[in-house]
Amino acid sequence: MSDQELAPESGIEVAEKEVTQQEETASTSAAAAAAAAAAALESQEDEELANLVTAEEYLMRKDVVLLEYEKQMFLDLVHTDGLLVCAKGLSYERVLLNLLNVYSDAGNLLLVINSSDIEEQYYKSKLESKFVHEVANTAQERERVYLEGGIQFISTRILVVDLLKQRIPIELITGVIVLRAHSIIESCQEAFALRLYRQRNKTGFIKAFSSSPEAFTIGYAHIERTMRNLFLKHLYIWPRFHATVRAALQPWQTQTIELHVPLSVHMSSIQTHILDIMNFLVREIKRINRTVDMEAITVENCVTKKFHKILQAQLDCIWHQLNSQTKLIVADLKILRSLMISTMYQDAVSAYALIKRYRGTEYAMSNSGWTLLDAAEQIFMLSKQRVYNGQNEFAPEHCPKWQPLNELLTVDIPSDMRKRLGANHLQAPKVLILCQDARTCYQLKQYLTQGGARFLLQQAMHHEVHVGKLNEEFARQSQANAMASNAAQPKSKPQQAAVAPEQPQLDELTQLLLDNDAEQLQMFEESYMLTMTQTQAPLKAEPNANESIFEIIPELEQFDVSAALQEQRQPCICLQTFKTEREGALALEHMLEQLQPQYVIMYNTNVTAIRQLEVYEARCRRPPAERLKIYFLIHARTVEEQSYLTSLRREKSAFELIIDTKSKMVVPEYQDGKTDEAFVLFKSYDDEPAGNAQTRQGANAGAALTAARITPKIIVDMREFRSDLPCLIHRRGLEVLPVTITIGDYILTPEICVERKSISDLIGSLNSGRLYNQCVQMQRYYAKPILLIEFDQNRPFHLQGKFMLSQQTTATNADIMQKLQLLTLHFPKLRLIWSPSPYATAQLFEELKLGKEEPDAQLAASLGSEEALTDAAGDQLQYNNAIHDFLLRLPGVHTRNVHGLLRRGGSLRQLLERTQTELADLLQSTESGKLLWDILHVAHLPEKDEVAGSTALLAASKQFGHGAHNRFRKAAGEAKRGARR
Amino acid sequence: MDDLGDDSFDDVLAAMDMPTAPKQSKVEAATKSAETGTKIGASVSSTGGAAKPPPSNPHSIWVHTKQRGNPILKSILNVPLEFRDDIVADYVVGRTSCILYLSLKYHNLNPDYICQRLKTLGKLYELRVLLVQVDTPEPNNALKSLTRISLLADLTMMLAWNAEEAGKIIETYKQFEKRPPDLIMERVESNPHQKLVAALTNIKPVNKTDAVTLLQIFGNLENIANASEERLSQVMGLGPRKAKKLFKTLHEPFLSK
Repeated sequence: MSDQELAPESGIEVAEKEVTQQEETASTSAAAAAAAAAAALESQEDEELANLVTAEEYLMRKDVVLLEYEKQMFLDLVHTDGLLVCAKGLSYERVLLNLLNVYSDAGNLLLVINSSDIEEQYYKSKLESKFVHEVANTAQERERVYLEGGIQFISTRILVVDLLKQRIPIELITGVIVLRAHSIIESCQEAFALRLYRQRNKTGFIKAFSSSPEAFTIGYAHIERTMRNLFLKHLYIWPRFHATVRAALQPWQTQTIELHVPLSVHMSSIQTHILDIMNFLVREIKRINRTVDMEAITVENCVTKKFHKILQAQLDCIWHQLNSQTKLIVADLKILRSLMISTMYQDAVSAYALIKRYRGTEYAMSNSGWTLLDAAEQIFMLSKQRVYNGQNEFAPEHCPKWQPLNELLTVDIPSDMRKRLGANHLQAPKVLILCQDARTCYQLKQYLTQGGARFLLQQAMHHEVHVGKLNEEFARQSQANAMASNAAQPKSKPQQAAVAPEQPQLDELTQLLLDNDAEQLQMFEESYMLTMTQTQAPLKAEPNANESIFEIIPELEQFDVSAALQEQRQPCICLQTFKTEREGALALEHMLEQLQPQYVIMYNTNVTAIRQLEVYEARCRRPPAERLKIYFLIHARTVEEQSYLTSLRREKSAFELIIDTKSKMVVPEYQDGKTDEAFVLFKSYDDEPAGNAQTRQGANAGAALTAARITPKIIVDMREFRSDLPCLIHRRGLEVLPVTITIGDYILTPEICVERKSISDLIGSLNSGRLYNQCVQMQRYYAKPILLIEFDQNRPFHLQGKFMLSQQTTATNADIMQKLQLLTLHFPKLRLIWSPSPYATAQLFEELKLGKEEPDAQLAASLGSEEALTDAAGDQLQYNNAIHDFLLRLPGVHTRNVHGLLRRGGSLRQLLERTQTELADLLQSTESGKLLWDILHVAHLPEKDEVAGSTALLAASKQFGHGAHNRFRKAAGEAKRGARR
Repeated sequence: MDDLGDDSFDDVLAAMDMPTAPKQSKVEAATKSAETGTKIGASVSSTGGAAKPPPSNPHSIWVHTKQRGNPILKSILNVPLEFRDDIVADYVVGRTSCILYLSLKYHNLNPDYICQRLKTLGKLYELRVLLVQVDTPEPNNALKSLTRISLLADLTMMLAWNAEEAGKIIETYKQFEKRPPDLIMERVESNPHQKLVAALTNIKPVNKTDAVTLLQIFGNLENIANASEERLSQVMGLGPRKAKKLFKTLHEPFLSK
C-alpha cells in the first residue's frame, strides 16, 4: 500500500517552487528556447529523462514542438493556476497535451473533467497509455485505480460521488484540469466537484481551458462567475490579435489568393429580396415588443451561423410573455435564414425544392404573413427561373463556384506546379478542398465525379422536382458527362454508354432513378478522396465538357490517407468539412498532417479553419516557396462575406469585453480556495470547514461533545447526482450523503422522504405508473412522503411552458393535472412541493430540516430493498406488504376488495384450499372469485406472440450479469451528456 | 379594507370570505345554469330555518356561500354545484376531501387569512387540498411560505395559473371522487399469464426471467405456492436468496399481527 501512495513530488512541483526565478528567465526564455531547441537537435541520443526539470528546461527538449505563444501559454499555466481563453483555431490542445505529458507519472493523480468524447480520444491517443487509466466500473476497482496515479478522464457524476464518499484520496490529488470552462456554471456537477476538491485539498492545482470567448459574453458577469466557480484568480487571454500570436504567425504567412466569384443575377436578387423581408420582420418584431429588449435581433445577426443560439439566449426566459405573432416571426426568421443558406450554398434545384415547400397553402395559413409580400413572390419566381428556362424546360443554372473550382483544379494548380517545380516534375499535386458541411462536401464530390448537369438532374429526382422537358443543351451536357464517367469507370455496365446517345431522355431518367437508390444509401460523408486523371488535347475542342475526370478513390477511410498516398502517384484531391463528427475541429489538423497538401481551396470561409491553416504553416516553418497556397472562393459583398465578417467581429468584441473585464475585475485573495475563507461564505454550519472533518471523526468515535454543531445531513439517492440539486444543497452548507436507496430520492429527516420529479419525469412516470408505485412505497415507510415537482429555472414557472411547441398543449396539460389529482386522492398523506428552481428547493430543504432529527443512512438504504425490520409509520401495518402487493396484481383482485381478502383470507395456502364460491364471497363478486380461482389453479401458458420474447429472455438469462454493467455505463454516459448540455 | 377601492381587487375580495362583509352577490347566481340556480334557491331557503341541511345530491360539489361570485365557478360545467354555509372548507368535493381556495394576490394582501382558515378547518377531512391560484408576477416567495404552511398543516397544495384551471381542478376532484387508481397504475396486460408474471416479479428479487421459468416448471400458482423452499432454490437462476424471499412471501400470513 505504501508504495502505491501518491508522492506529489515530481519534476514540475519543483518548478513551481522556482516561480520567483522564473520572472527573470521568462523574458529570456524565448531566445533561450530557440537556441536550446537547436542545441537539442544536435544531441541526437535520447538522454535519460532527468528527474527534475523546470518548465523552461522541459520546453527545450527536442520532442516538444511548440510555437512561441504556445510556450508562453504553457509557462503561464505551469507556474500559476488560471483560466485560459484562447481564440478559435489557435488550439490550446498542444499546450494541454504537453501539460498532461509533464504530469503523466504514477506519482501524480491528475483528473481531467468536462472533456468531450472527441477531446478525450485525442488526448488518450497522444499520451503514454501507461499513465492514462480508464475509469473503472465498480467502486472498489476505482479506489484501486485512483491510488495508481496517472491521468484519468472522468465523468463528473462519478467523481462527485467518489469525492463525497471519500473513495478518492482527495488530499493526494495533484490537480484537476477543466476543459470547456465556459460551461461551468454554479449549479453544475463540475463546480460541485471542484468545490469538494478544494475544501479538502489546498495544494493541488486547477487549470481551466476554453476556446469559446463568445460564450463568456452571455449573461451577467459570466467570466467572473466562472472564475469563482473554478477557484481561479488568473485569467489568460489569447486572442488572435495578441502581439505574441501575431509575431509567431506573421513570418510564415501563406500565399493567399482570393477569387471573387460573382453571384448569378437571379441569386443576387433573391438575396436582396430575402434581406428585405428579414428587415421587414425585424422591424415588425420590434414594433410589437417595444418593452422587451430585442437588441440581438438584427438583420446582421439573422444571417450568422449563431443566430439560433443568440435568439435562444435572449428569448428563452421571456418566451412565455411573447405573443403568438412574435413567435411566428421568430420562426419565420429562421426559415428565411435557411432559405438564404440553401440559395447561397446549395444547388439551384435543392434550393427551389425547399422554397416550393413554403408556397403551399398549409404554410400560408401558419406563418406571420411574409409570403404575401411582393418580395416573397419575387423569390418564388426567381428560384423557379433558376431551374426552368423561358420555355419551361428544365435547365437549372450551375452553382457559380463550380466553374472556378474546376478551373483551379484542372488549369491553375497544374500550371502552378509546373512553375514551381519545373515542367517535367513527377510529383502530383495534393489539394485539400474545405467546405462547411457534409452536404456541400457531397455536392462537390458529385459535381467533380459526375459533372454538374447530371448532379442537378439527380437532385431533381431526389427532391421530386418536376423535370418535364429537358433543355437540349442541358441534356447534351448531362449525357456527355454520363458517357465520360462511364468510360472512366469500366466497371459500370458498358452498354449504358452505347445506348445513351440513341435514346436520350427517358432512358436516362430511368437509369438515373436506379442510380439514385444506390446513391441515397451512401449518405453524406464528411470527407472524400478523389483522384484526377488528366485527359489531354483531344477534348479541348469541346469547351463545355470537363477536361478531366475525377474519380473517387473507393473505400478509402480517412485513416489510411497516408497509405493511399503512397500507393498513388496520381494527383490527389481531398474534400473535407471544417469539422467532422468524429474528431471535431481537430480533424482538419489531422488531415493536414497526413495529407500535407500544397494547395488548399476554401470553398466556404470559416474563421477556425483559416487560423488552423496559419498555425499549421507556422509549425512547418517552410521557406516561402514550399508553403501552402490557399485559394478562397468567395462571393464578395454578399451575405456569405458578411457572415464571415460578423463572426470575426463578434469574436473580437467578445475578447475586448473579456480584456476590459479583466482590467476591472476584483478578485478576492481567497478566491483560489486555498485558504478557508472562501468556504466560510457558504458554509454556515461550522465555524471553519476544517472543523467539518473533525466533527465527523468525533462523531465516528462516538463522542457526543461536538453534537452542538453537527452539520445537517441529507441522504441523496445515487441516481440523483445527475441533477443540479445535490450540488446546490451542498452549497447551502448541508452535508450530502450519497446512498443507493430504493425509496425516494432525498431523505431529509427520519420522517420526510422526497421524490423529485422534473416536469418531463412527472409526465412520464404518471403515465407509466411508476410514480404510483413510488408513492405506495413512500407512504408505507415514511410519515411524510413528499412529491417535489421541480421546474427548470430558465423556463417559465408554469406547466404550459414546457409544451410551448407541441400542438395539443391544453389536452396534455389537463390530462397531467387530472392524473396528479387522482394521485393526491389516493395518497391523501402525500404532500406536494411546487418548486420554481433547484435553488428554491435547496433553500426549502434547509428550512424543513431546521431542528429536526438527522436521517439514518443505513436505515434508508435497507428500506424497501429487503424486508424492513422496523415497523415504520404507515396505515397498512396490519398487512404484510409483500403479499398485499402480490395479490393486488392477480386478476380479480383490485384496490377495493383486497382489504377484505387480506383480512379474512388468512394466507395464500388457505386461499388455495378454498372453493370458487368461497373466494367469490371473499371478493364480493362471483366474477372476481372465478378469475382468482382460475389463476390459482389453472396452468396458464404464454400466448403465442409472447413465446418468442419469453424464450429469448430465458436464453439471455445467463448473460444477465452484463446487463448490469451496461446499465451503469449507460447511466454514466447519460450523466455526461446531461452535464454537457 | 374599504380604502382598497381599486377595481381590480373587487372580484378577488368578493371571492374571499371576509368576516366583516358577508354580503351576497345577487346577480351572479341568477346567470348560472338553470339547474344550479334552482339548487341555490333551495339551499338558501332552507338555511334560514333548520340547522340540519336538506338531503343533498351526492354528486354535487358543496360550495360555501361565501365563494359565490368567484370567477372560477364559471368553468365548473360538468358537475352540479350546491351552495351551503354549514361547511368549514370552501369546497367539499367528496366524503373525505375538501378544498381551500386561495388567490396569491389576496394572500399577499392578507397573509394571516389562510392561517385563520386552517385553524377552523383543523384536521376535518382526510384530503385537504389547498388550491392556489398563481396570479402574481413574482409568486416564489409567497409560494414558499404557503408550501411550508401546507407541510405543517398537512395540506396538499395544488397550483392553478388561471381561474379556468382552478375551476377544472375542483371539478376533477369531484369527478374522480370514487375513481380507482387504474389510470395512474402500471398497465397490466389482460392475459392471465402476463398478470402472473407481473405479480411474481413484484416480489423484489424475482425478475421476469425467473417468473417465466417458474411458471414453465410449475405450471400454475398453486404448485409454486406448494413447492418447498429447497425445490424453489433448485430452479435455474433462482438461487437460495431469491428462493427464500419468494417462499417467505408466499407463505406468510396476510396479517402481520
